Amino acid sequence: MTAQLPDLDPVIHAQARLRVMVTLSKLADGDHLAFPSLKDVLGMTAGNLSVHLTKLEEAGYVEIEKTHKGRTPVTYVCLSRRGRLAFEEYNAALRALLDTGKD
Amino acid sequence: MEDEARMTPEESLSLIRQQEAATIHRLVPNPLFTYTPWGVSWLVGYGLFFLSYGLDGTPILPIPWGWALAVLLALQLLAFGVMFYGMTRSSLRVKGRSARKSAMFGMAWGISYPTAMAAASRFGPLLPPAEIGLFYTCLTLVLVAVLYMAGSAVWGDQRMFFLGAWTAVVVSVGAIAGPGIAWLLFSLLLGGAFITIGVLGRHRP
Repeated sequence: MTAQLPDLDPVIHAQARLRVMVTLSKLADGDHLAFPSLKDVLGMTAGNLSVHLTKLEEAGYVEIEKTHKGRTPVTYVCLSRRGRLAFEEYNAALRALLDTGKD
Repeated sequence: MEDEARMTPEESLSLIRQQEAATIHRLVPNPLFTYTPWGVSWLVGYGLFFLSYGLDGTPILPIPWGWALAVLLALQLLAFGVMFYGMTRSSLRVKGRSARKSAMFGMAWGISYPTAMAAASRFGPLLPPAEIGLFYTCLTLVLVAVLYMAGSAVWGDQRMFFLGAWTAVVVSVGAIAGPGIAWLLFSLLLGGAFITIGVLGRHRP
């Protein structure tokens, strides 16, 4: 089974980043999630989450928007169009692997 | 910071399902907080109206009308508080299209209620005293019916559409039947529906 794993997108196929992708994929199109909320729902430290978000951003999978609410900086995150597509492909590949495993 | 050992596809699938459930629980308010308290307020409040009025104006229990009205209003205020708590207690900070939809939907309630009350306060006093309460109630419940059906179109929530349409049907029958039977129908059929839908949907997918 492990031999087939390279088919899965390595950027997504890591526990922390997979959880980030799942969480953001549940947002409606056009919605952005505040960084503290994402950190909260994932139960990750800000530092750890930032590292994984940077990797996803470098792959073009997430869009990170830094803005201000009054004088407080606020960061919002969402999946990019490319990220949604990559996540759909990851799910399809996963299903194919699981189906193969059943045969 | 690569903290992960390689996952098997089964582990990935299980992680996806767990995270989906955790996210939905934080994004979607629990119907137990948003629907059930309204159902309880109507079951008890309109139930007291029925006991106070009876089927034909002969009280079943000696409950003063004003006392029943006070209980209904207090329970509705409490239902609003519980709903607000349910909508905010675990909500994630989301900006964008959904937040704008929610704000406009909230404003639709906030604008339409005073409008209905303004119209009712003009025409209500012209009615026979026994009909005034039913007139106000039908008017507010029609708003509930319409806004729930409209809300289902906004969020694609079939449960909301069912509750709106059900409210419309029960209000129509109650309005035709008149006070007495109407209070009994609103108590059992509307209160019961909102309680049931909230309890059945409490676990969310």
